[in-house]
Amino acid sequence: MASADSDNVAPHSGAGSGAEPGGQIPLAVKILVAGGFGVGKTTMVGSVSEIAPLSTEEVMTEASMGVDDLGGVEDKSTTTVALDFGRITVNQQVVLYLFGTPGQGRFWFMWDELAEGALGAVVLADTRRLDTCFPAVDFFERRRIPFVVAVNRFEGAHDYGVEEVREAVDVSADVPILLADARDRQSSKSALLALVEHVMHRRSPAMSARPLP
Amino acid sequence: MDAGRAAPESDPGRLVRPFAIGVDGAPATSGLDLLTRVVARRPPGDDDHMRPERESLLRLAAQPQSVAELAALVGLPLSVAKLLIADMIESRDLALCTSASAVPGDDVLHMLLDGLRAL
Repeated sequence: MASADSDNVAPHSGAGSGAEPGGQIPLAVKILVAGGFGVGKTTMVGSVSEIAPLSTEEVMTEASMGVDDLGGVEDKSTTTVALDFGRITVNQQVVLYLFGTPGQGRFWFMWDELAEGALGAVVLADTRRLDTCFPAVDFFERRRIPFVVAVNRFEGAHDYGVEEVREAVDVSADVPILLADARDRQSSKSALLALVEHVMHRRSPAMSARPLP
Repeated sequence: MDAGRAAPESDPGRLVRPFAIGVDGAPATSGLDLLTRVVARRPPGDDDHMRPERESLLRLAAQPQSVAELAALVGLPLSVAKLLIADMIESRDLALCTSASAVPGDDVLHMLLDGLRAL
């Protein structure tokens, strides 16, 4: 294999992108799909992903996660947090990863790692229990991570207007709110587009192409 | 539990005992995040089948692959996968492709828009 000497593989060295065979590695962009438990996060990830959503998990113990402690893990109370994600190859230079964030509030510890370097988030809301999206909204507001609110339209749920939802969720006027169907690829795609446009808008109001529909 | 169950008559394929995964020391995983990409420096060798997770990682990372995907495909919890990957980077079986996911610039945002619209 080429260039065995040229890159030092200490994890922090950031060994450089071109050091290995295969040349340029596409930039990985991360978007989070957040919201309460059972609101359709994995469904949305799956509807736009080019791969069947993958699931990985994190096993947590109530004790500190010291590496040398793992031997005794079976005696401690453990919790498994599933993390579902999908991928969209945008072009040869950019790959988009979508991560469904664990819905329950007690998994905040995972959100920090997930949010690190994220472009932004789609917060899915269910009008039958809007309060379940409040923790996600708070999380992203506090960290100044751009987000849009997508109201997932469930069968049998009363159709609220966008402004009614805005009032109930109490997000600032510039946060886009849209009605969505997480099962529908076009609809999920629209939510992602709205987010990317919102990110552009926040960076430079002048460059935003047009108001959101 | 079915530990005492008789072995099936049909050929079960290659059988491997459920060894624990051994990692020397505690390699630093802090440089690895979900979207860190790694690539195998070599194909799996004859000796690797004794360490099936490592063998799988070498195979799955023949092309650059994210830590998240590797963990999911090998079926290991993220923290365990990270330890294993960090160890394999130290042993020069895997190499880092990029340091971490960077915040994308405006050009990338435009590519995202175009790419998503074309879906």
